[in-house]
Amino acid sequence: MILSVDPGRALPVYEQVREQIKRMVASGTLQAGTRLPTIRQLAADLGLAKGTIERAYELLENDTVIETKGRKGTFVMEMARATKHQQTVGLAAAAESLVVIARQLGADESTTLDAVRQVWRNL
Amino acid sequence: MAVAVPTTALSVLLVARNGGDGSGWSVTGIVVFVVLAALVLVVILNFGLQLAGFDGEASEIAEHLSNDLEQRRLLARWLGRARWARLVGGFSGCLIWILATHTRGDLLLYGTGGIAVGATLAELHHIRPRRGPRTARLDVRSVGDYLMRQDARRMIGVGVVAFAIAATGLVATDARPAIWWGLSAGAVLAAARLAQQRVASRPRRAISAKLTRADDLARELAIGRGLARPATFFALALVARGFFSLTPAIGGLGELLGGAAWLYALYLWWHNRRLGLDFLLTEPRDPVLA
Repeated sequence: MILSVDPGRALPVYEQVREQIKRMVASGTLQAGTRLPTIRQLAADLGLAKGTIERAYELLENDTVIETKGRKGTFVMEMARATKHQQTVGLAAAAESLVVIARQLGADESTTLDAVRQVWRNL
Repeated sequence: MAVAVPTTALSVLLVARNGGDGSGWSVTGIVVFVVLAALVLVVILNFGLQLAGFDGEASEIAEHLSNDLEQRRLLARWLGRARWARLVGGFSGCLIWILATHTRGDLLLYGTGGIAVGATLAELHHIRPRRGPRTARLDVRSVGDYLMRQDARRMIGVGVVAFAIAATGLVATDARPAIWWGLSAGAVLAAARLAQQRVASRPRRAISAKLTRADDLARELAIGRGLARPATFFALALVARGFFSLTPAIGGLGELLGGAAWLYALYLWWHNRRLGLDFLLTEPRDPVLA
């Protein structure tokens, strides 16, 4: 479970941390109940300001990916089971973004769907 | 040692010079003198080299901790730094004992104090973050993961006694210095705890699993043998002074408890001198990181 950040990238560092942890949880690399390092430790290990990791953890808490249990630490949450309606609405929004990007790149439908299948298998 | 050996050599020289009965140099006396003079030279050279930072034993001990070259290198670097800092600290404590108290103070207090300060300073170095992309493992590191239960219990036990001494000093009007001895011992343990937390959360990028294990062992040694034990024997030496200063209030019991605490501090120091790992040189066993 290695986190990698590059302050030189256009994407803010806290977003890089957030995205990677979300991916690890979605792929099962980080199991529910796993304890995460403290803000101070992760900030020190990555050579970042404490506020940066604090922001990433805050956003992950808002996303209900992690939860902080007082002095016990920060833990990965059980992934919430979405209702059929929530799935439809959420996927439609994500698919719309994907199709817009695909069209901007000039990709056709089958190439786009192949990319989705590839990611689905790899994640 | 460095004082005792030259003194003995000088005595032997005098005996040899007089031939025991004042009849001039004897062959046996000269041989003994030459051997002792060589010993003195070796001791002084060894001590000087160690003070200058040359510690051959550090890499030898590291060889007994791991078979892997990279792991050994990491461990030897930590061992060398920690042992040197303790040596310089202890030596400075003894110098202060000589210069400040003219050898009338408590050598154990000054010596262990120097070791504890040296050991703590050795762990306070800062690792600068690298520029550009960085990596880290999502592993949790806390003092509890590295500190042995026995060391933790000792620290808590001495802390409780220190607090009791300070509280007794507050109540007994004729034993006020006990408050300061008790509080000082508590402060030493608190400072060690802070240093332990710093060691546990010291930055570590995503290194190989092999080096992670060696780094974990170095942190374990630093938190236990490097910080907990020196803080405990120094705090115990302070607690001993606290008990002695309680004598006007609790009578001979203060002397007795003070003596016991002093002896226990001496025992702990003896068993943990030079990090207490020298036994690996004389009792070879399977490497810890086999």
